[in-house]
Amino acid sequence: MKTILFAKKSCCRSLARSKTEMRLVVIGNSHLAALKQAWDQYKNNFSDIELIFFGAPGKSLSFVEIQNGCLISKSDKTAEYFRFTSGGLDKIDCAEFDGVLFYGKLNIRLFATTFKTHTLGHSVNGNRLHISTGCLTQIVVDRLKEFKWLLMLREVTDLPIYFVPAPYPSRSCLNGQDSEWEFLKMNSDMLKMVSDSFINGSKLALRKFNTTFLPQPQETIEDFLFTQAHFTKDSVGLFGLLQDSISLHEDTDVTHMNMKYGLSILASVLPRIESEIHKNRTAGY
Amino acid sequence: MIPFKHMNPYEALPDEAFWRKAIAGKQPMQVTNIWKPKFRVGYHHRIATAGSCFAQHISKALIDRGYNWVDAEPAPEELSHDSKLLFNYGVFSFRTGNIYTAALLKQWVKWALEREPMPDEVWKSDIGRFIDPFRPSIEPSGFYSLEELQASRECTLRAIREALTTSKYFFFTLGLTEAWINRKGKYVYPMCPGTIAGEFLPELHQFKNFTYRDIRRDIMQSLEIIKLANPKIKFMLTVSPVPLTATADHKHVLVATTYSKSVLRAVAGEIADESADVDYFPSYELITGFPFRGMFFKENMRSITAEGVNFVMNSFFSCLESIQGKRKRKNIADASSVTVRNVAETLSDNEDDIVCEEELLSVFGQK
Repeated sequence: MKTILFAKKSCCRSLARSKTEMRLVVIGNSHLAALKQAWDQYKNNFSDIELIFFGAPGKSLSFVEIQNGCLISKSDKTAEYFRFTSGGLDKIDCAEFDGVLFYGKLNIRLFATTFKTHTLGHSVNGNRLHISTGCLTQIVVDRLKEFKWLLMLREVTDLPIYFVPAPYPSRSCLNGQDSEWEFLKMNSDMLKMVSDSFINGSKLALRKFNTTFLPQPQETIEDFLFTQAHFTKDSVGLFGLLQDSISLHEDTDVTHMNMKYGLSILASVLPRIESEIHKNRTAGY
Repeated sequence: MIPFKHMNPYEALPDEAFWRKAIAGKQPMQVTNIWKPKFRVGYHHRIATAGSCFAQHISKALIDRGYNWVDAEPAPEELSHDSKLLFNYGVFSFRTGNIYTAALLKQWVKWALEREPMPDEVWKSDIGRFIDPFRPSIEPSGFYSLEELQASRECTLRAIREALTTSKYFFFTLGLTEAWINRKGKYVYPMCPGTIAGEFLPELHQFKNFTYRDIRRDIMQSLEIIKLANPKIKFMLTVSPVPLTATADHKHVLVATTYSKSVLRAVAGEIADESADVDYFPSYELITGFPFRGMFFKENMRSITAEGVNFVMNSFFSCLESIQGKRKRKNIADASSVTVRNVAETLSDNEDDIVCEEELLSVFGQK
C-alpha cells in the first residue's frame, strides 16, 4: 500500500431506513475496497438496493463477538475500521438488513501449503505425494466448516447469506518472489481441477450455514484460476478510499482488484441476490 | 556325601509359568509379564504398521508414546483430524486401508516390492466415480477419474516401498482367514465385492477360507520378500482379538471366529518361535483370554473398549521396558529422514477413530 490515511469519526450514527427496496450488509476484508469504490461510483445503477459496508483488513476482521443479538467488534482497531467503512456504525444489527453479502475472506491461496507436499498430477514424481480431487475439496470444506463469522451470523439471523471469495490472483503472481503462489504453476487441466475443488468444496461447506456460494464471475477469469491482469491496475486500499484520498496498492500487488472488478462483482451478484430475496418475500419466508 | 539331586524343570520356572501365580492369584488387570520381547525397540527406530482394524491401536499407541512411527504417506496438513481418518491418512504407514488377510499382505508386498503389476480391475460407483477394489474405502466418494485412481495407487505403492525398506520394525496384525478372491485373476479382495462397493458376481467372485497352510505360506513369503528388500528389518506379529462381523462359511459366526483366530494365532506363534527376526505379541490373549472374563468387550461382544486397548498397549510397553528399561525419548525430528512424518495430531481413544470396513458387513445381517 502506498499510503493509508486515517481520520477519526467519533460519533456512531444509527441506521435509518431509506426508501430503497432492499438493504444488504456487506462484510469483508481489504478486498472490499474494489466493491466499495464501484458502489460509490455506480450505485445509481442499482437503485433498489442499499449497501452498508463493514470492512476490516486481514485478521482484524476476526475480532468480533455477539452482544445483544448484534455483531460487535472486540477490539478498538476493528471498531474503528467498522466505523470508517460503514460511515459511522459500530455494530451489525441484522434486523436492519434484508441479506448479507460476505466478501473476500476465502482465498485460493489456502492450497499453497498442500501443494508444497502434494500434487494432483497423474504421474507421481519426486518427493510430492498424490492428492485426490476429493481430498482437495475436503480441505476447503474443513477450512469453512468452523468459519467463525458464519457461525456467528447464523446464531443471530436467518437472513439469506451470500458468500463471494477473494479474487483469484492475476497471472503475474507467478513472476513474483512470493513462493506462496508457486502452486499455480501447473497445466490447465490441473488448474481446472483445483478450481473445481475450490468451488465444489465451498458450496458443500456453505450448505451447512444455509449460505449461497457465488463464485468469481467467469468474465473476470483467465485459465480457471487467474484474474485477468487489467483488473489489478489501479486497485485501491480500503481506508484511503474512504478518506477521499485514494491510496493505490503497489503495482506488484497481484491480489487486490480495481473498481472495474468491483463493478463486475456487483453486476454479477446483486441482481441474483435481489431476485432471490424478492422470491423469498413473495413466498412468505 | 549327600547325593546331588537335579531340580525338576518346573522348579526353576518364573511365576508367569504357573497358572496359580500368574492368573488365579491375581485380578485380571494385575496380569503382567505376558510377553518376553525379542527385540529392543528404541524411540529412534522406524516402525511401520499395517493390518486389520486392531492394528490401528498399535500405531496410535506408538505415536502417543513418542515412538518413531513411520507415516510414509502423510496427509496434507490442512486436512482436519476427522477428514484425515475419512481419507485413511495416518491409520497405517501407507494408505492401503485395512489388510485383513495374509494373502492380501502378500499381494501388496509383491505389487510394491517385486513390482508385480496390479490387476487393472476398477469399479464404478453409482455416481460414476472410480473405486479401487483393493482400497474400496480409501476415497469416501471415489476417485474422479481412472488416472487419478492409478496415480493414488502408485503413490501408495511407493509409500509401501519406502516404509518397508527403511523401517527397523514392521508390526503386522492378522485379522481374518476369510476372504473373497477373483476366480480368473486369482487375486484377493480386502472386502467382498458388492458390500462397500462394486458388484458381486457369483461366476467371478469366490469365497475362500484360508487354511493354516495357506496363511503360513503367505506370511512367510511376505516376510521373505520384505527381508530381501530390507535385510535388517524385524517383524512383530499380532492377532486381532476382534471377532468376525460376519462369516460366509455357512457356520455359526462364533465357530467361524474361533477357527479364524485359532489358525491365525497358531501361524503367528509358530513363525515367531521358529525365527529370530519375528516376534509375537499376545494382544489377542489379553483381550479374549477367559481370565479377562470378556470385560474388554463392549455390549456387542465385538468392539473392544478403550480400557481393553489401553490394557493391551500398556502391557506391550511395560514388557518392552522390562527388558530394556525405561528409555529416554529421543528427539524424533533429529532422527527422521525426509519422508518420516510424526503425526503431531494423534488419534483419540474414541472408537469412532478406528476405520473398520469389515464392520460394514453387519448391515447385511439386519434384514
